[in-house]
Amino acid sequence: MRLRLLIALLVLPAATAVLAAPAGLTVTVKGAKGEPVADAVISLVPLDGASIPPPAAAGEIAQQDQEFTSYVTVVQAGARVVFPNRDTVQHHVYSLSKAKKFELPLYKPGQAESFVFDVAGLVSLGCNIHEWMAAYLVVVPTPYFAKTGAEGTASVAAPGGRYRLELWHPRLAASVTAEFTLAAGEAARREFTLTLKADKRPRRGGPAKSGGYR
Amino acid sequence: MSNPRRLLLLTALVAGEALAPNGAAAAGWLDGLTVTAAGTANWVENLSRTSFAPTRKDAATYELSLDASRHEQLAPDWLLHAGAEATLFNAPAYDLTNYLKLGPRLGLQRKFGLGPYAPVLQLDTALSYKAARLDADRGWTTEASLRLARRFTPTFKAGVTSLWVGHHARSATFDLNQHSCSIDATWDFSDQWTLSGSAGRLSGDIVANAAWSVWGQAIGGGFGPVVSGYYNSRPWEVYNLYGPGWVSYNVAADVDLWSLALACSVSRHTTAEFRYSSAFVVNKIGIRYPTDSWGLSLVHRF
Repeated sequence: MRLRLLIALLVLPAATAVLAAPAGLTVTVKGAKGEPVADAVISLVPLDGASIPPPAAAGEIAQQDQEFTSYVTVVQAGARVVFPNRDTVQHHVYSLSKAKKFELPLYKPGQAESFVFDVAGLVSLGCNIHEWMAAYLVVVPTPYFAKTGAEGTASVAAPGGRYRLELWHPRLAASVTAEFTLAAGEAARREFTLTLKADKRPRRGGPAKSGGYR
Repeated sequence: MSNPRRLLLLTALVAGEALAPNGAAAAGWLDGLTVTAAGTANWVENLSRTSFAPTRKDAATYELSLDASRHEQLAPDWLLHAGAEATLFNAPAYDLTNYLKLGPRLGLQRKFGLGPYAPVLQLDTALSYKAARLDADRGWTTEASLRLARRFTPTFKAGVTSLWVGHHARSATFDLNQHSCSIDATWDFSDQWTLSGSAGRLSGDIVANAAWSVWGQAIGGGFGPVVSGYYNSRPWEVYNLYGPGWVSYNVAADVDLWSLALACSVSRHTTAEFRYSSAFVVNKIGIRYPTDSWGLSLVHRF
């Protein structure tokens, strides 16, 4: 009896450590011709009722050289995102998206307003003065997310469990979803090949003599 | 220095002083300034705007322009833009036509909604002084235009423009009072290339030129009483713009204008453009003055 208790005491912490050990998922995203796809958002939404910690970090989408500094930004629902104007000209940042509608008119250089994005969903951003300025803020209901870089890969660390993997890209007709179980301590890999639509952003034109709405 | 030049200098100094009350503000104000330089080389057929084909003068012309502008949002849908432009025109073969033009510009834009597809109504005004090499052509030019433009797709946008131009020269021969309406469209058919075109109609005064051998017959009745009567009723004088004895004269006319341009974005700040423009002038008694030009330009935003 004593021996059993001793074994149990020795095995239990080890088992707990294995279950709590962070697992990882590395996703590779390719286009139809096998080219790496950047700016694809991968999020893992827990399905087994695990508690979700509150957002740890704030996001930032700056305006610089008459562009948004990041084309795609991902934050956890409830996160605050700041929109600093680091340009030398005014901007008029807006969103008409259901997840968050807002406007920052008369937005002068040096200003840095922020908003809390507490509803998960897609927020399309634009500048009403410089029509080529476009960006996406993807608000996800989970702290487990990542965005692919130029090489088309992204890695997400999450505890073991059952998840719904969601993959989104600005040029994808609809999000790709897949349910899967991530074993504790596992380093899983997934690969997706996407058929992307044409880029619908107005092109930044060449030099123009007058400023103003363009 | 002539009075208009003094006035321009004074205006620039006063405006600069008013808009930049201290050093820091001036630096901030300058930061928001967009400065653009453009250089254009043109080959113009019938630069002389002459009706009698055998005497028409073709020539190469060159233009350099420097533009500084700034915009300020006054309210969520209203944008004010102000600027100044200097243009230097040179026709080496006919240097009496050379000029320097400079002056300020002020405009107001109203955007009807949010996003790239919202239509924009734009009112522009400009005042410039034309320091022409030919003394008789020197004077002030005023311009006002109203433009409605809209983007229809990510790659296609179009607009309609109504423009009024008045030039008050030292000699009545060079006075202009014109109104034009035009439509234009721009198609970004690749990441680098843009095709654009415009078509319009201008009504008002234009300056035409004729060799004395032709002009003498025109006013003497050699081409009939209608021509003689009309040309004698309009201001004209021998200015030798296109050769000894050449006459410059002012007529009321209708002009069909169109242009086609192919532009290539060399970099985010530089664009090269090839443009063909046509102006088919018909004066009030049916005399025609077709003019065509092919131009290559380079525009750079600093």
